Amino acid sequence: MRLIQRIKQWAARRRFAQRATRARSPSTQASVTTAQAQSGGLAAAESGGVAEPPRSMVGLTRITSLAGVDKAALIRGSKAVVSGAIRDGRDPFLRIVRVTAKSAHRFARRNGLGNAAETVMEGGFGCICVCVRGDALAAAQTSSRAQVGAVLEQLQALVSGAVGAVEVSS
Amino acid sequence: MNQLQEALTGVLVTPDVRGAAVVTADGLVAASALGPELDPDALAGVASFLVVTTDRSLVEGGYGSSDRLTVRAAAGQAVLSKIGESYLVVIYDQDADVTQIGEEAAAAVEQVRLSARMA
Repeated sequence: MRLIQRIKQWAARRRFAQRATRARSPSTQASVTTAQAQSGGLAAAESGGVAEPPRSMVGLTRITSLAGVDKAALIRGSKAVVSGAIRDGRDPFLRIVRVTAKSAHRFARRNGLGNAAETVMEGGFGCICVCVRGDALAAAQTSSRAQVGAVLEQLQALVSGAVGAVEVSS
Repeated sequence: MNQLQEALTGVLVTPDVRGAAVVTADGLVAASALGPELDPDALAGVASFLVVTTDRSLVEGGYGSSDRLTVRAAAGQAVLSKIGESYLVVIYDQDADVTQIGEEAAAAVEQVRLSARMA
């Protein structure tokens, strides 16, 4: 009986040590980042500790904190991370961003301009900026008083980070 | 040469501009002054597709239509500005100054709008 208890204690210690080693290794950190990027930043690390906010979420929060930015989103496939004044997944902003990015891509390719990296729509609503890299889209809606150049820079950094996080794991 | 064509030729003289065209929302070319590498019919077709799909999604989302659309790509840039029912499409080089583009496009739109009114 005592032997069984000792074996259980040893197994528990071993599991704890393995978990600690895994948390320290850089390859595991990259895969956690990948999981967070793929799941739209909503997946928490399953190690039981306090999960850090995903990098994409931090980037989006930084963008929405800029003057004049109402909402921002990072879209990858069918998943999106959003920040700011977005109600839910049915918000028209997400659809507008996807439709525009696709049309702009087609426009640029057909006219020999290569891949469309940035698209800016201006109108009575203010300005909608869309940055594309690979299959990731980052977009923000701003009012007319926002500095569009600064917003586009942040969006490019965000979308590059989202693609880079997956490239590390593959 | 009509005044609209003259206005577009004037836009083409600006450095970093590869071409300019006035296209209708249904994909017809009203006037164009494009470089040899750009096909006016193809440009009008995809430009109308871009503005129509974008405007439709904006209107359906309750945003209202857009006045100007800028596309920055790997090998060039394009500015599509609304002039009444038509659009002025200006294609720029990749290295064209971003802030200058906005001012130039606005000036070109005004010029084309004036010439269209006079014609």
